[in-house]
Amino acid sequence: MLAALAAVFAWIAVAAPQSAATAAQVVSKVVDFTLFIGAPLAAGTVLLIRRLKAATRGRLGAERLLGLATAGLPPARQEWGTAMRAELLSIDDPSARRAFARSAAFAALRIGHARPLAIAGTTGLLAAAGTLAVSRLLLAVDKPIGIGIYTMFAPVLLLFAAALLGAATRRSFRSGLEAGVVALFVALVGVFAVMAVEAVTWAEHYGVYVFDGDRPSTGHLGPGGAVGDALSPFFIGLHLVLWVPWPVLGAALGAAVRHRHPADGAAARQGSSRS
Amino acid sequence: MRHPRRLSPQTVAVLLALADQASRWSHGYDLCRRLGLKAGTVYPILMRLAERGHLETSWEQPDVVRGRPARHLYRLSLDGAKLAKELQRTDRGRAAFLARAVV
Repeated sequence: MLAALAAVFAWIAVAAPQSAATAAQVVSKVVDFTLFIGAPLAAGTVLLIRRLKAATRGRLGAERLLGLATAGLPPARQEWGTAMRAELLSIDDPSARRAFARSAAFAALRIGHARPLAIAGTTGLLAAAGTLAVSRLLLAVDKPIGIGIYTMFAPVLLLFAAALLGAATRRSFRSGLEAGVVALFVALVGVFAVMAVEAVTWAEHYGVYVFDGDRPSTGHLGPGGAVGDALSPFFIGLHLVLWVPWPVLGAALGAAVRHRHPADGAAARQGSSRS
Repeated sequence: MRHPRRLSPQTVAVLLALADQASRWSHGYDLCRRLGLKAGTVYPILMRLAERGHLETSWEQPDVVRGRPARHLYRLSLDGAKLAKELQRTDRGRAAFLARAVV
């Protein structure tokens, strides 16, 4: 998969007019792509597909839906996931099974999200605050080189950390993924909101784009053009591609911590009784 | 005992339905059918009641003949039974309404 992605990018690099340059430049681009986009994307995709396959293996329809919704619940909730899945199998009427699965899946998706959401919100706000700080710092030191390098790569670390923390504290891949994915969306909104506002400041002070510090070919950059550039679908898509793998990777690493405490998972799986 | 008056009508209905069963165990789906509530309503209530110590849970034996896994069972704990009694005593009208609704 990674090789296929690298091949596609190599083809794009060779086909692009500006890169009709040297072979060394093409190789450098392919290496950059592989390190920063291809490898994380491939690893994240493989991890996610393996988890989804494990959650739905041998199940059909309603069972698959509930299996997915209850997959990777934190240890304290696993017993309830098992209970709902077992109850589903006891229902013979197909329409009642579907109704039960839909409703129970909704319940499973709602339970116990307070901590992951708190982690996600904090992470997203940190990414946005960092964007503002970097922008203001560069303006303060009179270096309008653009904040794209920060927005593309620094939030990656935050998203990875949020997912890792979410997964490790609850010993659950799913909790980590939820924290990471919500953090990604909060960060995306926060970072681009800050970029849009800062784009106007950069345009007014230096007449350059906030993302890369380039000047427009026309020489003049108005507020509308500056904001439009900052919020262009290309930049948003670029950030998404760079950021998306890291919540998955962080969640996988955080969930691996569970293996250090096998007793917790085993206790939850056994299904304790208070009686 | 935790503020019985702050319990939702659905939670009260679950408590009363379980109280009606006395010490007998109930299944989650049977509770849903009996109360006319969806699984997405009943299971979170069961989780909360169990976490608060109002509910005892257990696992029945798997149905080997039909190839079905063990189902989860629920009944009121002593605390839960006290809470149900308190509800009936302090809020008799509401409890009676709900009791009628769940039969």
